[in-house]
Amino acid sequence: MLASPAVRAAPSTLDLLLLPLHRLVWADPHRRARKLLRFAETEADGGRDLARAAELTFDPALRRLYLRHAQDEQRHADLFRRRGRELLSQPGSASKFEANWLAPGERGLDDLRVEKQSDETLLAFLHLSEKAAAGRFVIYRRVLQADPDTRGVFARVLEDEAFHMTYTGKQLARLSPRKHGLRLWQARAGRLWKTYLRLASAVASVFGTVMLGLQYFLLLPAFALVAKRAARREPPGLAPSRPPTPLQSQY
Amino acid sequence: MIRRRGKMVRTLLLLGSAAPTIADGARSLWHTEGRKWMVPLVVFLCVTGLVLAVAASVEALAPFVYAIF
Amino acid sequence: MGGHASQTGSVGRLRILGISAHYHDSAAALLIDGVPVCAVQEERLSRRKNDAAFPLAAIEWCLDFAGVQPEQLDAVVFYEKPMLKFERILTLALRGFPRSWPAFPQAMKNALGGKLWVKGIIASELGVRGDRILFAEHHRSHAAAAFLGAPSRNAAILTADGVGEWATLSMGRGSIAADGTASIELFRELRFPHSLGMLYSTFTAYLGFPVNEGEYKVMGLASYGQPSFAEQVRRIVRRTADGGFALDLDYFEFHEGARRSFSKKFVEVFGAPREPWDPLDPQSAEGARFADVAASVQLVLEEVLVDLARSLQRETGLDDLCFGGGVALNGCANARILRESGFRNLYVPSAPGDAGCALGAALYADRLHFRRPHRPVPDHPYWGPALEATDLARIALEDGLELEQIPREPDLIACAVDHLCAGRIVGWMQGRTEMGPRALGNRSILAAPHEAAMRDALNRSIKYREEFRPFAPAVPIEQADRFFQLPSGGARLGRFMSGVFPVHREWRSRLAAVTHVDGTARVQTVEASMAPRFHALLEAYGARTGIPVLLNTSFNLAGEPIVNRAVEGYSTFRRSGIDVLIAGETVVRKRRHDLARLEEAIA
Repeated sequence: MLASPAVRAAPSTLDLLLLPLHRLVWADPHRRARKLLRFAETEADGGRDLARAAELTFDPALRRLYLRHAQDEQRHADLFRRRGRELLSQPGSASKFEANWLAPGERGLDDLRVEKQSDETLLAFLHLSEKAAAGRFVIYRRVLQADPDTRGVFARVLEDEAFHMTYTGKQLARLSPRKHGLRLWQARAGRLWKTYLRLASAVASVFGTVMLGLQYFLLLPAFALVAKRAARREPPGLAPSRPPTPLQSQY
Repeated sequence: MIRRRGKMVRTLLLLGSAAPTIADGARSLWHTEGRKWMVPLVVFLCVTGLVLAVAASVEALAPFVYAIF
Repeated sequence: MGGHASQTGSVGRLRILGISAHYHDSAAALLIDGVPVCAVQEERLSRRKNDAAFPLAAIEWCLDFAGVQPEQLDAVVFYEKPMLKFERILTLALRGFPRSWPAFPQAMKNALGGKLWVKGIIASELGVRGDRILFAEHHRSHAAAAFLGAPSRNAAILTADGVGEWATLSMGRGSIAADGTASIELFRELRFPHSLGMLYSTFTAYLGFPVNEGEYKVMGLASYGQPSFAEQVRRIVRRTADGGFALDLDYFEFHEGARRSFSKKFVEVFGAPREPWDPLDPQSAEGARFADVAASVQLVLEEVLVDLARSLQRETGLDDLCFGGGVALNGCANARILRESGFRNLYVPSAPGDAGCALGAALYADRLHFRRPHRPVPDHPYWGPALEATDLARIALEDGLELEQIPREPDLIACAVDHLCAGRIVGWMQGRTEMGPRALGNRSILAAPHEAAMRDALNRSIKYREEFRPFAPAVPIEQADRFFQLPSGGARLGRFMSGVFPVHREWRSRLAAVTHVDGTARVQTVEASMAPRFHALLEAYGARTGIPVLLNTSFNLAGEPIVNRAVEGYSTFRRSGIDVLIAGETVVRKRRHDLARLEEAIA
């Protein structure tokens, strides 16, 4: 860990208000374990994104930092995974309710296309997402008083997060000394836009499901009878191969 | 070098190719033994399914695309 | 080219692009005048493992590599028939009515939201005219990749995978006439949901491994178990009188699109499934049960395949079998087919899965649609981007690493041998990227194969994977018999690491890092004509140690695709326990303390 006093992780007001809910969500050991395993996946994905960023950047300092950051994320993934497995091996209640919307981890909900980012936009994005995640992790550490081991995992991760927030902030200021504030606002707007897209996709998906569900129950029954009758006539085992059709045909 | 087209152009090109695809599917099913009965269902699903294709290609407007239809 | 005029008007040159996409590992391949020029999986360029997206980057790379514009393409061939596939999905939904209702909306969204409109996608992305877009059937693409890419003029063909359109397994034969006319005749097929690929994938999911990726793990785990559940597996894979089989669908749910591929009845027979996050120790009672289940499904898979191959051999009377489809990645089954089916040669392409269908579809169109005379396909897997290591020296110098440029090949090889003999792990990048899931000496991590501790170190600090998974050895083909019990035709099967064979008992302790618990190894037999530098390295290592065998594993970290460019090799080298990176003629070594100081200084 590198000493980086410049940026401190602080939870958002909303998360502070939701503290009792977070406490409830994290109370069950089984649910806690599944959340940690999900975090592990998110951190590992984040590590791969950062490795990709290191491969693409032409800035040597950024390359070294991204690689270091990628290794940190991999280590976090290991920490979360190990602790999650430990919790699962302990007897406890098996909750079905996961509430992952409450705890998306770092870049868990953002489909980051590193290739499409410049160093500046990527740094701004990383800075914000590290800050948001660190704020969440502070909350989690707070609500996990009854589980010192998991609390310890978050404490160790938070040490690195402070470094990540610091370096992304500093490097953004170095690359974009006059516009780094603008870049951060652009990144915030980008996150908002992605939130809207997720929402729009979810709404559209519901519409689509309803439309297809209606078709299924209104349209398919008669055809299903015919299909089932045809299926009964098919002998089991090998069948003669379908004769080749012209390559222009999609059937 | 592949010339990149805008999302709108790509969606229009995709829609333009839908009719021949559906016709090809319907014709082939019609000429396949024991599959004639599927033709109306396939055609109906494909035609209404174009909404899904449009919604998938313009995700920002997806809810409104459904609303229009 | 036999006087054919290409559709674009340029006489004598026919340019065919093959594409596979939308299910798993999408890819593109380019054929000019009947000979492959290049092929690459999308994941190698997008850096997303098993990337199934439309392979725009792969297509663009192929076209750029060959200097071809999209409008100069005479044909773009997709590797399956989307409307036929849609018909299968719809038919199964109808047959499963009303139980299929939860899966129906998602299945339709997938198909109607994009996959059905492949012609439109290709036309809109590439700007190719609709009449130039062709569709080969999925299993014909597999068959073409297996047969037309193999050095055989008359061969039986077997393809097996999860599912294409309807077919899950096909049997047939291929021949090349004296005038070069190629034919592929498929006689029989098994249809979905009766599928060996889906059977194996169901067990993969049951054992807590990711489907389409964890099948290797099932094979590795099988060696730790006894096939004590074989009878139960045989009951759910009922053999039919015609030599085929039918799955007892009461034990499965995949055909109804359910989230889980196995049913309650399946769990009643085999016990509780393993959760993906549960540790798996084959020595524990629970782990032994899972190993036994893996051994059982492996045994039954082999029995079915051997029987089908044997009947195909009797029917065709041929010596050669070309085997394609994802199931052909099962090296243990391949070795048994070779030993027991009566075929003298078994050819499995380097990419027998769906990625290889990009090349298969293009070859099928060239030989059977355009009816052009067959031209032998170069017998190697190196169809991807070539290594350009110029950036590597700059990057390594910027990072303050030890760097050496060794232009003379004997010196470079001597340097690599020095490191390997000193017990260091070497990242080895040379030439063009391999097509297919295996690193065959151009994008490999190499290490000394002698100590089990090396295997453990690789699992721990580089591959981050389960301890029960074996590593593969590479050996010069001339010396393979000395270390491994290869049946007749085994050396050929080892060309693309497609067979698992016993290690001679006397060598097992000295090849501990590459000998699996059951005394076998997935051998790569290296021919100088295919990979001269890698072959020379193995020979030089043998000259120094007396054992010309190296541990060869793919150059990637867990969850990442195999590296392609030098800078990706460098990033992997920096993030893992690899000690030395040799890319082309550039050699880079780590100095960990220097790196830590550098990071502190710039943070």
